[in-house]
Amino acid sequence: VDRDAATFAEFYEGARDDCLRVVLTSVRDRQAAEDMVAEAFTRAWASWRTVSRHPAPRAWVVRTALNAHASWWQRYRREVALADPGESLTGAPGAEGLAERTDTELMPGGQLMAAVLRLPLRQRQVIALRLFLDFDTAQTSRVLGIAPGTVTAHLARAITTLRDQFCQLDHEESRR
Amino acid sequence: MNDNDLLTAVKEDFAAVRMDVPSQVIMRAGTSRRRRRRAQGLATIALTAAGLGLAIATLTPGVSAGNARLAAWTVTRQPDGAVAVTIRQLQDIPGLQQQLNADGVPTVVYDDVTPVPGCLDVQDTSLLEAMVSLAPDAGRAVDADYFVIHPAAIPAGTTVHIDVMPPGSNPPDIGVGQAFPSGTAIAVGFGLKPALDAPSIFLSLVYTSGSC
Repeated sequence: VDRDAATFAEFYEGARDDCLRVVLTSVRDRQAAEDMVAEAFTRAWASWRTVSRHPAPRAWVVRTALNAHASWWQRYRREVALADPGESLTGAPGAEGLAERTDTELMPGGQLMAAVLRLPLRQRQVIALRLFLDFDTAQTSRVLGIAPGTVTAHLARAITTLRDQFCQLDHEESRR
Repeated sequence: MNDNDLLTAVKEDFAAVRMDVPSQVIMRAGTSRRRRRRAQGLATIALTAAGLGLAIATLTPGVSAGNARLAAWTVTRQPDGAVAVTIRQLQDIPGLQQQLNADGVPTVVYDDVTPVPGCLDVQDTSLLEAMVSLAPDAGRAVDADYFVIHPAAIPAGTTVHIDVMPPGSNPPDIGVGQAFPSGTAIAVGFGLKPALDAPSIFLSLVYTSGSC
Protein backbone atom coordinates (compact mmCIF):
# COMPACT_ATOMS: atom_id res chain seq x y z
CA VAL A 1 0.00 0.00 0.00
CA ASP A 2 2.84 2.35 0.90
CA ARG A 3 4.46 1.69 -2.43
CA ASP A 4 1.17 2.38 -4.22
CA ALA A 5 0.78 5.58 -2.24
CA ALA A 6 4.28 6.67 -3.16
CA THR A 7 3.82 5.98 -6.88
CA PHE A 8 0.43 7.73 -6.90
CA ALA A 9 1.79 10.75 -5.06
CA GLU A 10 4.63 10.95 -7.54
CA PHE A 11 2.21 10.67 -10.47
CA TYR A 12 -0.09 13.29 -8.96
CA GLU A 13 2.69 15.76 -8.33
CA GLY A 14 3.97 15.37 -11.86
CA ALA A 15 0.64 15.38 -13.66
CA ARG A 16 -1.78 17.58 -11.74
CA ASP A 17 -0.86 20.96 -13.21
CA ASP A 18 -0.79 19.74 -16.80
CA CYS A 19 -4.08 17.87 -16.40
CA LEU A 20 -5.66 20.99 -14.96
CA ARG A 21 -4.37 23.05 -17.88
CA VAL A 22 -5.78 20.61 -20.44
CA VAL A 23 -9.17 20.50 -18.75
CA LEU A 24 -9.22 24.25 -18.26
CA THR A 25 -8.46 24.73 -21.95
CA SER A 26 -11.47 22.57 -22.80
CA VAL A 27 -14.01 23.91 -20.31
CA ARG A 28 -12.70 27.47 -19.83
CA ASP A 29 -13.94 27.63 -16.25
CA ARG A 30 -11.17 27.60 -13.65
CA GLN A 31 -13.20 26.45 -10.65
CA ALA A 32 -15.05 23.77 -12.60
CA ALA A 33 -11.76 22.54 -14.07
CA GLU A 34 -10.18 22.25 -10.61
CA ASP A 35 -13.15 20.37 -9.23
CA MET A 36 -13.19 18.04 -12.19
CA VAL A 37 -9.49 17.28 -12.02
CA ALA A 38 -9.58 16.72 -8.25
CA GLU A 39 -12.46 14.30 -8.68
CA ALA A 40 -10.64 12.49 -11.48
CA PHE A 41 -7.48 12.07 -9.39
CA THR A 42 -9.61 10.84 -6.51
CA ARG A 43 -11.02 8.19 -8.78
CA ALA A 44 -7.55 7.40 -10.07
CA TRP A 45 -6.33 6.73 -6.52
CA ALA A 46 -9.44 4.68 -5.71
CA SER A 47 -8.58 2.45 -8.68
CA TRP A 48 -4.85 3.02 -8.71
CA ARG A 49 -3.85 -0.59 -9.38
CA THR A 50 -5.79 -0.42 -12.63
CA VAL A 51 -5.04 3.15 -13.59
CA SER A 52 -1.32 2.78 -12.94
CA ARG A 53 -1.22 0.12 -15.65
CA HIS A 54 -3.08 2.31 -18.14
CA PRO A 55 -0.90 3.16 -21.15
CA ALA A 56 -1.64 6.88 -20.73
CA PRO A 57 -2.70 7.61 -17.15
CA ARG A 58 -2.66 11.38 -17.70
CA ALA A 59 -5.07 11.00 -20.59
CA TRP A 60 -7.19 8.78 -18.29
CA VAL A 61 -7.36 11.54 -15.73
CA VAL A 62 -8.24 14.18 -18.30
CA ARG A 63 -10.98 12.09 -19.84
CA THR A 64 -12.36 11.06 -16.46
CA ALA A 65 -12.30 14.68 -15.33
CA LEU A 66 -14.45 15.71 -18.23
CA ASN A 67 -16.77 12.73 -17.84
CA ALA A 68 -17.30 12.70 -14.15
CA HIS A 69 -18.35 16.10 -13.03
CA ALA A 70 -22.09 16.15 -12.83
CA SER A 71 -22.54 19.79 -12.11
CA TRP A 72 -20.36 20.76 -15.03
CA TRP A 73 -22.30 18.37 -17.23
CA GLN A 74 -25.57 19.86 -16.09
CA ARG A 75 -24.35 23.37 -16.74
CA TYR A 76 -22.89 22.33 -20.08
CA ARG A 77 -26.08 20.56 -21.05
CA ARG A 78 -28.24 23.51 -20.12
CA GLU A 79 -26.16 25.87 -22.14
CA VAL A 80 -25.67 23.74 -25.22
CA ALA A 81 -28.92 21.81 -25.36
CA LEU A 82 -28.29 21.13 -29.03
CA ALA A 83 -30.97 23.47 -30.23
CA ASP A 84 -29.32 22.98 -33.59
CA PRO A 85 -28.90 19.22 -33.97
CA GLY A 86 -26.44 19.85 -36.79
CA GLU A 87 -23.90 20.96 -34.22
CA SER A 88 -23.45 17.43 -33.06
CA LEU A 89 -22.19 16.45 -36.47
CA THR A 90 -19.28 18.82 -36.36
CA GLY A 91 -17.46 16.84 -33.72
CA ALA A 92 -17.58 19.80 -31.40
CA PRO A 93 -21.19 20.17 -30.38
CA GLY A 94 -21.92 23.31 -28.56
CA ALA A 95 -18.32 24.29 -28.37
CA GLU A 96 -19.05 27.90 -29.03
CA GLY A 97 -21.86 27.87 -26.51
CA LEU A 98 -19.21 27.99 -23.87
CA ALA A 99 -17.54 31.03 -25.29
CA GLU A 100 -19.85 33.44 -23.57
CA ARG A 101 -18.96 32.25 -20.13
CA THR A 102 -15.22 32.25 -20.57
CA ASP A 103 -14.08 34.39 -17.74
CA THR A 104 -10.44 35.08 -18.31
CA GLU A 105 -10.48 37.78 -15.68
CA LEU A 106 -10.73 35.09 -13.03
CA MET A 107 -7.81 33.17 -14.44
CA PRO A 108 -4.14 33.62 -13.96
CA GLY A 109 -1.97 33.83 -17.06
CA GLY A 110 -1.40 36.35 -19.73
CA GLN A 111 -2.59 37.42 -23.13
CA LEU A 112 -1.43 34.28 -24.92
CA MET A 113 -3.41 32.13 -22.56
CA ALA A 114 -6.43 34.31 -23.22
CA ALA A 115 -5.78 33.92 -26.94
CA VAL A 116 -5.70 30.12 -26.59
CA LEU A 117 -9.00 30.18 -24.72
CA ARG A 118 -10.58 32.16 -27.54
CA LEU A 119 -9.68 29.51 -30.13
CA PRO A 120 -12.35 27.11 -31.41
CA LEU A 121 -12.73 23.97 -29.29
CA ARG A 122 -10.85 21.58 -31.59
CA GLN A 123 -7.93 23.96 -31.94
CA ARG A 124 -7.81 24.41 -28.17
CA GLN A 125 -7.87 20.65 -27.68
CA VAL A 126 -5.11 20.01 -30.18
CA ILE A 127 -2.92 22.72 -28.70
CA ALA A 128 -3.55 21.56 -25.13
CA LEU A 129 -2.76 17.93 -25.86
CA ARG A 130 0.41 18.96 -27.66
CA LEU A 131 1.56 21.42 -25.03
CA PHE A 132 0.67 19.72 -21.78
CA LEU A 133 0.51 15.98 -22.51
CA ASP A 134 3.19 15.99 -25.24
CA PHE A 135 0.86 14.12 -27.59
CA ASP A 136 2.08 13.75 -31.14
CA THR A 137 -0.22 13.95 -34.15
CA ALA A 138 -1.06 10.24 -34.11
CA GLN A 139 -1.95 10.21 -30.40
CA THR A 140 -4.01 13.38 -30.70
CA SER A 141 -5.76 11.92 -33.72
CA ARG A 142 -6.72 8.80 -31.75
CA VAL A 143 -7.90 10.67 -28.67
CA LEU A 144 -9.96 13.22 -30.56
CA GLY A 145 -11.23 10.77 -33.14
CA ILE A 146 -10.18 12.87 -36.09
CA ALA A 147 -7.80 12.26 -38.99
CA PRO A 148 -4.10 13.03 -38.50
CA GLY A 149 -4.32 15.55 -41.33
CA THR A 150 -7.12 17.33 -39.50
CA VAL A 151 -5.00 17.47 -36.36
CA THR A 152 -2.19 19.03 -38.33
CA ALA A 153 -4.57 21.53 -39.92
CA HIS A 154 -6.08 22.52 -36.54
CA LEU A 155 -2.62 22.90 -35.06
CA ALA A 156 -1.45 25.03 -37.99
CA ARG A 157 -4.54 27.27 -37.76
CA ALA A 158 -4.13 27.62 -34.01
CA ILE A 159 -0.45 28.51 -34.34
CA THR A 160 -1.23 31.05 -37.06
CA THR A 161 -3.84 32.72 -34.86
CA LEU A 162 -1.57 32.70 -31.83
CA ARG A 163 1.34 34.04 -33.85
CA ASP A 164 -0.84 36.94 -35.05
CA GLN A 165 -1.83 37.63 -31.47
CA PHE A 166 1.74 37.42 -30.30
CA CYS A 167 2.97 39.80 -33.03
CA GLN A 168 0.19 42.20 -32.16
CA LEU A 169 1.12 42.09 -28.48
CA ASP A 170 4.76 42.51 -29.35
CA HIS A 171 3.94 45.49 -31.53
CA GLU A 172 1.88 47.10 -28.77
CA GLU A 173 4.68 46.53 -26.30
CA SER A 174 7.25 48.15 -28.56
CA ARG A 175 5.02 51.20 -29.09
CA ARG A 176 4.87 51.89 -25.39
CA MET B 1 10.08 33.28 -33.75
CA ASN B 2 9.54 29.68 -34.84
CA ASP B 3 6.62 27.44 -33.88
CA ASN B 4 8.43 25.85 -30.97
CA ASP B 5 9.31 29.23 -29.50
CA LEU B 6 5.72 30.35 -29.84
CA LEU B 7 4.39 27.18 -28.19
CA THR B 8 6.94 27.57 -25.41
CA ALA B 9 5.72 31.12 -24.85
CA VAL B 10 2.12 29.90 -24.72
CA LYS B 11 3.07 27.17 -22.27
CA GLU B 12 4.81 29.68 -20.06
CA ASP B 13 1.66 31.77 -20.08
CA PHE B 14 -0.17 28.84 -18.47
CA ALA B 15 2.49 28.44 -15.79
CA ALA B 16 0.35 30.26 -13.23
CA VAL B 17 -2.41 27.65 -13.63
CA ARG B 18 -1.58 25.27 -10.84
CA MET B 19 -3.48 22.62 -8.99
CA ASP B 20 -3.06 23.46 -5.32
CA VAL B 21 -4.86 20.52 -3.75
CA PRO B 22 -2.31 18.44 -1.78
CA SER B 23 -1.97 14.79 -2.71
CA GLN B 24 -2.96 13.80 0.83
CA VAL B 25 -6.40 15.34 0.36
CA ILE B 26 -6.90 13.51 -2.93
CA MET B 27 -5.75 10.23 -1.44
CA ARG B 28 -7.98 10.59 1.61
CA ALA B 29 -10.97 11.14 -0.66
CA GLY B 30 -9.95 8.24 -2.88
CA THR B 31 -9.51 5.95 0.11
CA SER B 32 -12.97 6.90 1.38
CA ARG B 33 -14.40 6.21 -2.04
CA ARG B 34 -12.72 2.80 -2.07
CA ARG B 35 -14.09 2.02 1.41
CA ARG B 36 -17.59 3.06 0.37
CA ARG B 37 -17.34 0.84 -2.67
CA ARG B 38 -16.21 -2.07 -0.55
CA ALA B 39 -18.98 -1.42 1.97
CA GLN B 40 -21.54 -1.32 -0.81
CA GLY B 41 -20.20 -4.63 -2.08
CA LEU B 42 -20.47 -6.16 1.38
CA ALA B 43 -23.95 -4.76 1.82
CA THR B 44 -24.94 -6.26 -1.49
CA ILE B 45 -23.58 -9.62 -0.44
CA ALA B 46 -25.43 -9.36 2.86
CA LEU B 47 -28.66 -8.45 1.12
CA THR B 48 -28.22 -11.27 -1.32
CA ALA B 49 -27.59 -13.70 1.50
CA ALA B 50 -30.70 -12.43 3.25
CA GLY B 51 -32.63 -12.85 0.06
CA LEU B 52 -31.62 -16.51 -0.04
CA GLY B 53 -34.01 -17.20 2.74
CA LEU B 54 -36.87 -15.59 0.83
CA ALA B 55 -36.58 -16.58 -2.78
CA ILE B 56 -33.91 -18.00 -5.03
CA ALA B 57 -35.06 -15.77 -7.84
CA THR B 58 -33.93 -12.64 -6.09
CA LEU B 59 -30.34 -13.82 -6.05
CA THR B 60 -29.67 -13.71 -9.73
CA PRO B 61 -27.28 -10.86 -10.51
CA GLY B 62 -28.42 -10.70 -14.10
CA VAL B 63 -30.77 -12.78 -16.15
CA SER B 64 -31.96 -13.16 -19.66
CA ALA B 65 -35.45 -13.58 -21.10
CA GLY B 66 -37.88 -12.91 -18.38
CA ASN B 67 -36.50 -14.71 -15.40
CA ALA B 68 -36.38 -13.28 -11.90
CA ARG B 69 -37.98 -9.87 -11.78
CA LEU B 70 -35.72 -8.55 -9.08
CA ALA B 71 -32.42 -9.32 -10.78
CA ALA B 72 -29.76 -6.61 -10.97
CA TRP B 73 -30.42 -6.52 -14.69
CA THR B 74 -32.64 -8.27 -17.17
CA VAL B 75 -32.10 -8.74 -20.88
CA THR B 76 -35.10 -9.88 -22.87
CA ARG B 77 -35.08 -10.66 -26.57
CA GLN B 78 -38.42 -9.63 -28.04
CA PRO B 79 -40.27 -11.33 -30.92
CA ASP B 80 -39.33 -8.56 -33.35
CA GLY B 81 -35.63 -9.05 -32.57
CA ALA B 82 -35.35 -6.00 -30.34
CA VAL B 83 -33.55 -6.46 -27.04
CA ALA B 84 -35.10 -4.93 -23.93
CA VAL B 85 -32.71 -4.08 -21.11
CA THR B 86 -33.63 -3.32 -17.54
CA ILE B 87 -30.88 -2.30 -15.14
CA ARG B 88 -31.46 -1.98 -11.42
CA GLN B 89 -28.05 -2.33 -9.87
CA LEU B 90 -24.39 -2.20 -10.78
CA GLN B 91 -23.74 -5.92 -10.58
CA ASP B 92 -22.16 -8.47 -12.90
CA ILE B 93 -21.36 -5.94 -15.61
CA PRO B 94 -19.30 -8.51 -17.60
CA GLY B 95 -22.34 -10.79 -17.51
CA LEU B 96 -24.55 -8.04 -18.89
CA GLN B 97 -22.09 -7.42 -21.71
CA GLN B 98 -21.88 -11.12 -22.47
CA GLN B 99 -25.65 -11.48 -22.52
CA LEU B 100 -26.17 -8.51 -24.84
CA ASN B 101 -23.54 -9.82 -27.25
CA ALA B 102 -25.18 -13.23 -27.14
CA ASP B 103 -28.48 -11.57 -28.06
CA GLY B 104 -26.97 -9.94 -31.12
CA VAL B 105 -26.03 -6.55 -29.72
CA PRO B 106 -22.30 -5.86 -30.19
CA THR B 107 -21.72 -4.16 -26.89
CA VAL B 108 -19.08 -3.07 -24.46
CA VAL B 109 -20.39 -2.19 -21.01
CA TYR B 110 -18.33 0.07 -18.81
CA ASP B 111 -18.66 0.40 -15.10
CA ASP B 112 -18.19 3.96 -13.87
CA VAL B 113 -17.12 5.60 -17.13
CA THR B 114 -13.91 3.78 -17.84
CA PRO B 115 -12.11 6.02 -20.33
CA VAL B 116 -11.10 4.41 -23.58
CA PRO B 117 -8.69 6.62 -25.50
CA GLY B 118 -8.91 6.16 -29.22
CA CYS B 119 -12.57 5.16 -29.48
CA LEU B 120 -14.21 7.06 -32.30
CA ASP B 121 -17.80 8.02 -31.60
CA VAL B 122 -20.38 7.92 -34.34
CA GLN B 123 -21.60 11.50 -34.47
CA ASP B 124 -24.73 10.91 -36.53
CA THR B 125 -27.54 11.14 -33.99
CA SER B 126 -30.07 9.68 -36.43
CA LEU B 127 -28.25 6.34 -36.18
CA LEU B 128 -28.56 6.47 -32.40
CA GLU B 129 -32.22 7.33 -32.61
CA ALA B 130 -32.79 4.31 -34.83
CA MET B 131 -30.80 2.06 -32.52
CA VAL B 132 -32.39 2.77 -29.15
CA SER B 133 -35.89 3.32 -27.83
CA LEU B 134 -36.18 4.94 -24.45
CA ALA B 135 -38.95 4.15 -22.04
CA PRO B 136 -41.64 6.79 -21.68
CA ASP B 137 -41.73 8.38 -18.25
CA ALA B 138 -45.24 7.25 -17.46
CA GLY B 139 -45.45 3.93 -15.73
CA ARG B 140 -41.72 3.49 -15.34
CA ALA B 141 -40.44 1.54 -12.43
CA VAL B 142 -38.93 3.67 -9.71
CA ASP B 143 -35.96 1.40 -9.18
CA ALA B 144 -34.87 0.45 -12.69
CA ASP B 145 -33.62 1.87 -15.95
CA TYR B 146 -35.24 0.54 -19.09
CA PHE B 147 -34.36 0.83 -22.75
CA VAL B 148 -34.69 -1.19 -25.93
CA ILE B 149 -31.91 -1.75 -28.44
CA HIS B 150 -32.70 -2.66 -32.04
CA PRO B 151 -29.79 -4.83 -33.24
CA ALA B 152 -30.88 -4.57 -36.87
CA ALA B 153 -30.36 -0.81 -36.71
CA ILE B 154 -26.79 -1.04 -35.49
CA PRO B 155 -24.55 -0.19 -38.45
CA ALA B 156 -21.93 -2.75 -39.43
CA GLY B 157 -18.55 -1.93 -37.97
CA THR B 158 -19.92 -0.19 -34.91
CA THR B 159 -20.27 -1.19 -31.29
CA VAL B 160 -22.70 0.01 -28.66
CA HIS B 161 -21.02 1.56 -25.63
CA ILE B 162 -22.98 1.52 -22.41
CA ASP B 163 -21.57 3.51 -19.51
CA VAL B 164 -23.24 2.42 -16.29
CA MET B 165 -22.55 4.81 -13.43
CA PRO B 166 -23.51 4.70 -9.77
CA PRO B 167 -26.81 6.36 -8.86
CA GLY B 168 -26.45 10.09 -8.47
CA SER B 169 -23.22 10.33 -10.45
CA ASN B 170 -25.01 11.70 -13.45
CA PRO B 171 -27.47 14.40 -14.33
CA PRO B 172 -31.03 13.18 -14.14
CA ASP B 173 -32.39 14.02 -17.50
CA ILE B 174 -30.48 13.82 -20.73
CA GLY B 175 -32.49 13.48 -23.88
CA VAL B 176 -31.92 12.04 -27.28
CA GLY B 177 -28.81 13.18 -29.06
CA GLN B 178 -27.37 15.23 -26.27
CA ALA B 179 -23.66 15.78 -26.16
CA PHE B 180 -21.51 14.03 -23.62
CA PRO B 181 -18.06 15.35 -22.93
CA SER B 182 -15.87 12.27 -23.13
CA GLY B 183 -12.55 13.67 -22.23
CA THR B 184 -10.93 15.62 -24.95
CA ALA B 185 -13.33 14.24 -27.52
CA ILE B 186 -17.07 14.64 -27.70
CA ALA B 187 -19.29 11.63 -27.65
CA VAL B 188 -22.86 11.77 -28.78
CA GLY B 189 -25.42 9.48 -27.32
CA PHE B 190 -28.34 9.03 -25.01
CA GLY B 191 -28.28 9.77 -21.35
CA LEU B 192 -31.13 7.89 -19.78
CA LYS B 193 -33.34 9.59 -17.30
CA PRO B 194 -32.40 7.37 -14.42
CA ALA B 195 -35.00 5.98 -12.10
CA LEU B 196 -34.72 6.76 -8.43
CA ASP B 197 -31.79 4.84 -6.95
CA ALA B 198 -30.99 3.17 -10.25
CA PRO B 199 -27.63 3.55 -11.97
CA SER B 200 -27.13 6.36 -14.44
CA ILE B 201 -26.63 5.18 -17.98
CA PHE B 202 -25.17 6.70 -21.09
CA LEU B 203 -25.48 4.96 -24.46
CA SER B 204 -23.35 5.77 -27.46
CA LEU B 205 -22.20 4.20 -30.67
CA VAL B 206 -18.52 3.86 -31.54
CA TYR B 207 -16.63 2.55 -34.51
CA THR B 208 -15.44 -0.95 -33.68
CA SER B 209 -11.68 -1.21 -33.27
CA GLY B 210 -9.16 -3.10 -31.24
CA SER B 211 -9.65 -0.92 -28.19
CA CYS B 212 -13.38 -0.39 -28.67
